[in-house]
Amino acid sequence: MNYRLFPRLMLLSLIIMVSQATAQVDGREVPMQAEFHFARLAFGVNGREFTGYRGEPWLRDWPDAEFHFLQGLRRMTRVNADGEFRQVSLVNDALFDYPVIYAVKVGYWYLSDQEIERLREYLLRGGFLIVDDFHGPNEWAQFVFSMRKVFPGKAIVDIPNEHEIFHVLYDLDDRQQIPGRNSIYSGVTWEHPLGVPEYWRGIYDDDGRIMVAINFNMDLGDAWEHADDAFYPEPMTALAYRIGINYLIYAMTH
Amino acid sequence: MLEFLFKYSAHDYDRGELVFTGDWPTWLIIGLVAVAAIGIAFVLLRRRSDTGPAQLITVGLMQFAVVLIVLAMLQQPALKTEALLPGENTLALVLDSSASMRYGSGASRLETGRDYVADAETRLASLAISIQRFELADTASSVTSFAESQAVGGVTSIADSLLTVLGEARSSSLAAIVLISDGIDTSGGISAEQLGDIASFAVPIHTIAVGRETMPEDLELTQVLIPSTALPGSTVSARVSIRHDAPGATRVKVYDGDELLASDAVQLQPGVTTTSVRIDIEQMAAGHRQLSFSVDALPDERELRNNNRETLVNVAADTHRILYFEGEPRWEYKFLRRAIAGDEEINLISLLSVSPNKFYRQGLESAEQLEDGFPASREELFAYDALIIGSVQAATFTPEQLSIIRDFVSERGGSLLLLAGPNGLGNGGWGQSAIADLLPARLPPSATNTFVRKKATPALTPQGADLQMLRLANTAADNRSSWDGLPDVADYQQTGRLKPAATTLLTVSTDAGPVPLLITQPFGRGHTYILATGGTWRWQMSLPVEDQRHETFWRQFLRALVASAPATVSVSADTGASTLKLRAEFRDKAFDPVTDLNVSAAVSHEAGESQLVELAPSPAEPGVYLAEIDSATPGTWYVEAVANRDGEPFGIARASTYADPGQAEYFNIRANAGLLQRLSDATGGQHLDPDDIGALTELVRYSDAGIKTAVYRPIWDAPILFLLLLALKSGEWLLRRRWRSI
Repeated sequence: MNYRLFPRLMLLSLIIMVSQATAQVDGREVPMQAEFHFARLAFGVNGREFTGYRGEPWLRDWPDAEFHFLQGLRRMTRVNADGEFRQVSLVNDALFDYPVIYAVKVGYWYLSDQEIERLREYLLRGGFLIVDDFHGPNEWAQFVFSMRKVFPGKAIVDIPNEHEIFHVLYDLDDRQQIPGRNSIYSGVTWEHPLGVPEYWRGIYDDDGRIMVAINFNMDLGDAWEHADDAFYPEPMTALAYRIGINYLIYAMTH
Repeated sequence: MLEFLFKYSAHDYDRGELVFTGDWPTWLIIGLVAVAAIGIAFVLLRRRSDTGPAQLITVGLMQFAVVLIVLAMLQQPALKTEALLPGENTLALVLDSSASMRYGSGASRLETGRDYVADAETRLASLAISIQRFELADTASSVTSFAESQAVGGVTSIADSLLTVLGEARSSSLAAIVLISDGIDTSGGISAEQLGDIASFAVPIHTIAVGRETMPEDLELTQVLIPSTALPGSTVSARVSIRHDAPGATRVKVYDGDELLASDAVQLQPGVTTTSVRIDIEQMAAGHRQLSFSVDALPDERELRNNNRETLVNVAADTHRILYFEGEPRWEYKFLRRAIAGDEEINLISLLSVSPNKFYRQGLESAEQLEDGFPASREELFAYDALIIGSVQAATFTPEQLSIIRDFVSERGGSLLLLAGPNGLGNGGWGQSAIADLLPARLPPSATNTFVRKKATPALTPQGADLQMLRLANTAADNRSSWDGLPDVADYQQTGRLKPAATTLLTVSTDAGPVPLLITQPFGRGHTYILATGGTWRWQMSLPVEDQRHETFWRQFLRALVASAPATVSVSADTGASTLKLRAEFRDKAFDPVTDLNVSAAVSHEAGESQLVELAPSPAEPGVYLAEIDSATPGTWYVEAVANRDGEPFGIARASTYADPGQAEYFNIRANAGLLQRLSDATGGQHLDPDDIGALTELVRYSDAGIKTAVYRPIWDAPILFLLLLALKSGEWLLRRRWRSI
């Protein structure tokens, strides 16, 4: 190898990667195949703006979580759901073709002013955001920091048991903390020493409808992902399915 | 000319009989004819060597014709007709004295009519006929003279007036009626039945029209069509018709008291006499709204009272129910519910098949509502005003439920809307279902997948642009722009061939060109609609949150669905010329007519005057109860109809209307000679130009009615006979000169 060429090749590769990432951010739109597409929200993390669909915390549990959840959804409901799954960022106009989006690791997310603006617009138009897999006070603080910018005047509140979102298909009065697989291996139900108890929280719109469903100190995505893992407790997987389905049905009816 | 040649009119010849009054016996006439024929033949045959046979025959026939005509004249031909017996008959002179007779340029129509009357009386004096005089308005009244007549009658009913005249004058051997009028009937015209009643008296009515039939200097607000009821906050469209005899421009305005609600410029089109425009009145406030419509006057317009019309719209909060049955969770369901959520007048009750074994119900009025799924009885389904069926297979419904859906549209008068979807329209087997004939399109068979999940651009059709329910902006141009600027719908579905009665209101562009997106047709008492997409939700998600087009579309569309659905109990009040016609209709929960009710109505005027009226069952319409009362007092009338069955209350319905009986005479001010012509034709009379009043004498003398005697009118001296003789002899002479022979 000509070692004099190495720095130039590295620079060229970097330029190609950056240009591809930028192109994906701007124009990613895939034709609709079904009424519902599992759309995972892509975002920047740790103070960096979103630059492209590369592996980041937001992709945690992908693709098995989507794969298993969609099979359950299609088997147990009449939702016309596509077997494929999508990723979408807040800066992509295709965002508005997915009235429900799923986001994980929001304790690390970093939303630019543009993304803040578009998330607010998305939710007010009728979009629905499910956030999952974030734990402990620091991650909560980071999530809240962004959401305060999205909705400065709106409170994040605990969703009461009797709320329709817990009864729209399944009656989910008895819920428990659903942790990631590693926590199960460790014999605990939390992923962070301060990640107890679990919280089912939400942000409501002016008409009293939930527009953001928040699973704090929980990891439903892991429960879906490991639905075929004999070690992962079946009751937790079943509950995760039911909660996810209830969220979706609620989002499709309210 | 013909009358000059034949001495009498064709009408006289029609009615008369041709007779010979000479007293020569028949054998003598035959003998004379024979002698003349032989004589002519003898003379001509003597000259047969000088000329040819054809010329001889021609001359002979001409001479023989002269002999025949002379013999006929000597036998004194006459027209035998029946004429009035002098001193035994009566003539009714009827002069219109309604308010419309005050119009006229220079002399009023009434003054002109008086002149015609005077002229007619002078000419009729020779007939020794008794004349009775009547003024005509809402009815006829006998007068001794027209000198004091005033054009003040608030209503004109020509038929009723003539029947009064015929009734009063019947005992005095009425020979004819002479009617002088502008032909304006403000009671609703003369019906065929009334015309038959008048003709049954067998008295000819001769008519003379006064007034102009065209008035280029005048505009008239002929008609305002507007729903009598509306929901608070809704936009109401009124159709305004303007009568004009010249092209031009004006402006239509709508006021509620002193508040200007709407205003629109109108171009009066050349070549037509009526221009119609639509004007939208937005955000109607609750209550009885007395709306005043007006058109701006033309520069030289004198009669301004026909530029205004008052009408009443009852804007009342009333909740209408819509049942939405959806076969799968989907975005259209969510966003439709959200769009209609703020509308207090619409209760959208939905039944969503979430999973194979579970329905999810929303918008419920009680916990039991739709507990067993889709309604299985007429009473249960008929409680709704409209039905929406989403992505659902037709086979989901039992045959009985499909039959109830059919009755829901055809008998109950509800609206049915079918939405597109993977299991909707053709895919769902609706084209082969028991209600396929209700739908506005022949849906393709279910074996063909017609649902396309691909974005497509919607477009407004001209028919759709004319509907208030598809108005997204105030003006037509803005509305078009609003539709053009809408995002694509998420999907569409092929509807197949449209039925003859279908109307396409929206289309959507596809690779194969535009296809129907929203279509409708009437069926029975109701309407059916197909919205061939399940993807209008993209309008909401793709437009800024402040943009209300998605919400506006669905609110107006759903309001239109329920607006035409009748209630089980209803009452209406229509103002006639001077009466208030009440019509109450009572049906049970299954919308079967209820015929054994005691129905009464409290009718009150805004000034406080009130009365209780009993309504009688209509013999023609089961479940309908009718009454008619005098409503000479202008203003707003309120009606509350109460029905009882065996002493138990059955139902209450309320309505209101605005009456202004005197106003009618300010409208239709153009003379209507056609009506007078029709009247004369039906009774055997003549419609005369004012210049032909002189003909009245003979028309009356030989009238078909009255006490008559036979009259022989000689015609031997008719100019045509002398002209014939002259022509025959001159012709013979000319022929002889030409042939230089005989």
